[in-house]
Amino acid sequence: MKYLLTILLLSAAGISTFAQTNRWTPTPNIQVGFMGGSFGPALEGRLGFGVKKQGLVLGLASGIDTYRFTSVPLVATATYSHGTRKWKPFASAAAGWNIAAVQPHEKGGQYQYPSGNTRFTNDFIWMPGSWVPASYRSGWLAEIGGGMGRHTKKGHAYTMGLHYSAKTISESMTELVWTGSTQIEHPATAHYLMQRISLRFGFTW
Amino acid sequence: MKKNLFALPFMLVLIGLQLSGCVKDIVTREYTFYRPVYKTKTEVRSQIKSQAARTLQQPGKIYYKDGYLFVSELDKGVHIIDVRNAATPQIIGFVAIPGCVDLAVRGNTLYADMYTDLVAVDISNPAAITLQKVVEGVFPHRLYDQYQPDQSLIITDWVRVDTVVRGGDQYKSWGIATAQFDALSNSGNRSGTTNGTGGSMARFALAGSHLYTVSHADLKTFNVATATDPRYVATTTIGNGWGIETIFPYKNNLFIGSQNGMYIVSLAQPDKPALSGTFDHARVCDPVVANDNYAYVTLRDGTVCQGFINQLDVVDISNLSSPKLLSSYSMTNPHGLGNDGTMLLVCDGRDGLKILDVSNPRAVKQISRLSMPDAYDVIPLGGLALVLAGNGLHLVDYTNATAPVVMGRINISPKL
Repeated sequence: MKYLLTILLLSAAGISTFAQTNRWTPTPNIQVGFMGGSFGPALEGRLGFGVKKQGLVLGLASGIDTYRFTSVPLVATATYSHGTRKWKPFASAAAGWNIAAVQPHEKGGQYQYPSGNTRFTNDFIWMPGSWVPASYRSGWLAEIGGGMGRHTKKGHAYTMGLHYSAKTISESMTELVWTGSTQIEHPATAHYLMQRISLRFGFTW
Repeated sequence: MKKNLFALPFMLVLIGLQLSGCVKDIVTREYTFYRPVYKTKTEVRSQIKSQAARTLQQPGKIYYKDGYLFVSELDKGVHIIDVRNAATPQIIGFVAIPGCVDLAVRGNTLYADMYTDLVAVDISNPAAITLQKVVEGVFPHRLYDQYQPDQSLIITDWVRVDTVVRGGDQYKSWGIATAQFDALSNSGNRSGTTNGTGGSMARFALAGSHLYTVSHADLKTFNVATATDPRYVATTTIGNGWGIETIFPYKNNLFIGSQNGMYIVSLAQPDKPALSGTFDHARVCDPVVANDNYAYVTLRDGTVCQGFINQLDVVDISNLSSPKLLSSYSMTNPHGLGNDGTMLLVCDGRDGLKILDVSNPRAVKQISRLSMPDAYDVIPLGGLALVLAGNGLHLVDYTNATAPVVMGRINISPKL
């Protein structure tokens, strides 16, 4: 996580420098969202930092995504708002890494036993098994969405929008598999593609 | 615009709710399972024949007869191993019997289970064995209900399948031996037919002219007076009818190990075995061997057995109707055992083979230990022990009990 923060800070500094030298305006933003998908509801929160020129905002964002397997997305974002009035419609897209930060209660796993005479028929040496949680590998995240933003005289904006997002995570574990006479361990992997619709509220400075 | 201020969130929530019902998580799973291969009973029986010697892969039960050791290859058949020369044991043949777990040998006849059936095979010439008889349906506990809805079919193999399933959100519920079999061919006693010796982990036992088998719940009796023509006699419920694991014949009694005790069954009437004594213990696995006055029971923990005890119990059986615990000896994870006079050979799991002095049953002492992984079962033959362990079959010379020596070994080639 500390590496992530370092990357974000360095990126923000880089973007800020870029903005000052190219007449782009630095624009931090914060968003919270309520997500729904086939697994159930979840929350997300995100901090972003971008540069703005006319209606286009380019930047980086990161936060927390609690849908099914908690993860930390680190994405490049692009938002375009159109219009000159107080209320402006916007469209946005983002893509990047989805860093697995799966919490213990979200993890699958398998009871495993010390290997023993499992080769001998219906007579397994058994010792107290231990729960071995699955391991998780990071994937990617991509999203697209749009909504409306209310812009203030100071140049800030309150936004609300709907977003479709997809994230991936891979889960690996060892399974005990029945071979007809005994059980032996085999690796098993599940690749999750999680699709959600998010109602997101934000504030842009 | 004020109207929009309130209407927009509602509209977005409604649209969001609608859309969230349209998106689904997609899970792609890569895993392995084993798929049963079926054959008809006719096909299977036609395949019970001699095959070239093959390596041990999943050895199960062991049975000794006249210089030959018979080792079941789990669900595949029976290896025939010439152990007359302890330094150079040789696998000389293989009898293909699908579904085989247990076995026994009387005269020149091999008895084995073939899933739910008992088969009698003439092995007088291992290069041309012949199926003599099939007693059908006597081991119903071997039926794989979930895989075998059609009982005219037999599962003959399990094939590994590595698969990738992309779907919804539900986790998956988830050559011929040429050696001659002289010793067997020439074996005999007054009646011309002798019984072999089984390991203590056996579920088949021969006593006189009867074959006794145990399932998890009961004892079955077969009359094998005519060795090639086994006849089912009766089924007897033992104890509370569950957890039975092993059977050991000694003189006129059967000693049956179960998960909650040892049962002594009288064979005064061989066709009607009758419970004569019980020794209860905590719930663990427990093979048993016995001599005139004492029974030796190893208790261990295990998947089926649960329990958390690993020890050897010495039980006074001078009064068969009232066996009494004399002493207990702490062990690591004891399995099969064998008694040879004042010595007891115990397969103590990962601790290997232990030779114990039981001359004083109240003070059992360890004489020596021979390291081998996952020692499972042993047949002592008066100075030579046949020991099945995780890495193979060991022929151990224990004439000097303080320094047992592995004379010969046949390795296990793990199934790939």
